[in-house]
Amino acid sequence: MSVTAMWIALSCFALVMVALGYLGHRGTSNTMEDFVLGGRKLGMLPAFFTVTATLFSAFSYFGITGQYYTDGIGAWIQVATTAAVGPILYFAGTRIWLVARRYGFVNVTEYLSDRFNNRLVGLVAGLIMISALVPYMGAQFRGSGLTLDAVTNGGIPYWAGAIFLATVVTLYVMSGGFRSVVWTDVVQGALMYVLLGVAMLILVFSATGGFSDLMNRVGEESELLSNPGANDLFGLPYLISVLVIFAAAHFTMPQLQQRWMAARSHTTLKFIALSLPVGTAMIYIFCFYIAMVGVVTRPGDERPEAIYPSMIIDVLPQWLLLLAILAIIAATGSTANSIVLTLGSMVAKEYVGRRYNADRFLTMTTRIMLPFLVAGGLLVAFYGPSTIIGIIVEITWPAVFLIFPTLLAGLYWRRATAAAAVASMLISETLFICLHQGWISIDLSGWHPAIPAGLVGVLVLVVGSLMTQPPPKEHVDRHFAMFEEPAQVSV
Amino acid sequence: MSEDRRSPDLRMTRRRRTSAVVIGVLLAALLVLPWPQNMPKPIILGIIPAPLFFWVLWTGAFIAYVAWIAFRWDPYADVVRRNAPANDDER
Repeated sequence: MSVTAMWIALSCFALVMVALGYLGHRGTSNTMEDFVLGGRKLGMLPAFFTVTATLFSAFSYFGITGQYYTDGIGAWIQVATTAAVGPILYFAGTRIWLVARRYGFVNVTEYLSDRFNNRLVGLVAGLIMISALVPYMGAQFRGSGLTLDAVTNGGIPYWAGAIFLATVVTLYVMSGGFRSVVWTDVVQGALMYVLLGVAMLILVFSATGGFSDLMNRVGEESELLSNPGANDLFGLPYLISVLVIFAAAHFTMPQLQQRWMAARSHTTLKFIALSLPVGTAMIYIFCFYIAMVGVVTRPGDERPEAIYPSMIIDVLPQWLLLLAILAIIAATGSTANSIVLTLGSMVAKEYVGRRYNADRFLTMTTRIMLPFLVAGGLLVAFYGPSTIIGIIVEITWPAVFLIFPTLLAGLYWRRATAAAAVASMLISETLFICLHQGWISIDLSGWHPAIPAGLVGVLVLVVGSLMTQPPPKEHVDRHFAMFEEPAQVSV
Repeated sequence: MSEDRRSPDLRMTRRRRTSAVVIGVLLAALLVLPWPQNMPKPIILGIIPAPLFFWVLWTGAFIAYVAWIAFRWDPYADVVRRNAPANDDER
């Protein structure tokens, strides 16, 4: 593909994104609630696009297509994880949505600090989240760099593609905060769905005689079309591990927590619970057939994560190819923008705002933090692990998953204490790292190391809470009284 | 409210809670069941391999289950009405 044409398309894309960012800026005041949560007025349709666009990223285009290609059909388990978020989002999500509205919380770490009446809980949770999400943001820049490098045959080098996305995202998020992020997510999300679907149809019908022919050519005996998959990956322990870890982590992810908190109404929250797995299923079905086209046309490809961009270069007309590439860049950008805004607000509230709590100052601090966090993501993109799926599966979701017991205890268990919460998070994260790195050698028989680490975390939380002093009753009542019957409260 | 008048409501709530847990666990078990194994055939309608077909089916059932909790049972409806009445007006 022509490098000039690609740069022109990228410039147009950047202009549209920055213009949308400016539109968001015009409607945003200098309060944290407005800059970080858009005044808690997130409606249903924007919620659908911003939640799915935040969740789907370079991971969907490269990682999942690559996993279908190498391991087979069991990659679908990720759709099940988004369905399993539904009940968690309805029950726990409603509670945090109500509490956040009442006390003006704008992120999950702020909630944790207040609920446990101890700043350390939010600080520790925040540090874990920052350590987990900066690499994930780096994965998005890596996705942008890989794509542009592949489609231009090195004409736009990897580093230029990564820095391009980082710059555009920083500009529009700094401009209008949450509103800019949602405006751009709607456009980027729509691009993602439409163009991935169109690319799938064109790939299937250009490379084969249609879906039936494609399935015949993959071969009815192919291990890719059945469980446990080509590399025996999708056994019961693996599937349960993925379901538990990802469903809990999707709910706990701070950038998604901000979307739950920003919902205009309870109906919006319920709508998200239903629409998230539907959107996810669409993406995974598109990716499945794209990967199967790869199996037929590019057997034994050594870079399975790059099969999607490599294939569309061969078959799509030039104008559609440009749009499809922009859709990939959009998907990476729509994930990075949410993360950087969320992390910026966490740093401002948890690490700076305790001393200087003026709203305008916090908003300014959030803005100032954005380029620094983006720079951290770029460092990961240049020097981090080599495969995108590796970054996500190995670091981000398990690390955030291990905060889930503390969050759930905060929402449902009056007796949970700050000391136990901090101990639970630190011990389970340490154990996870030891098991993952093999420093503690135990045969896990196919279970993900985060599962035993999570069980230990729950044990520490329960035993530790029973052994330590809970926050004062009046303080805990702030978080629980609204969920009790009026008669119970007055007693 | 007297105990007598509250009992049917409580019984209904308990029944719904139990049903929700049982159905939820059952559907979650189906979602993680790697079934059928080592059986790429049949390919449903010529385009969907059998394991994917069943996974789509279980996922659809789980979404319906969530819809039942959120819109039919809606155990948080009263709490939301009490605490955020003005904001739950979206259609």
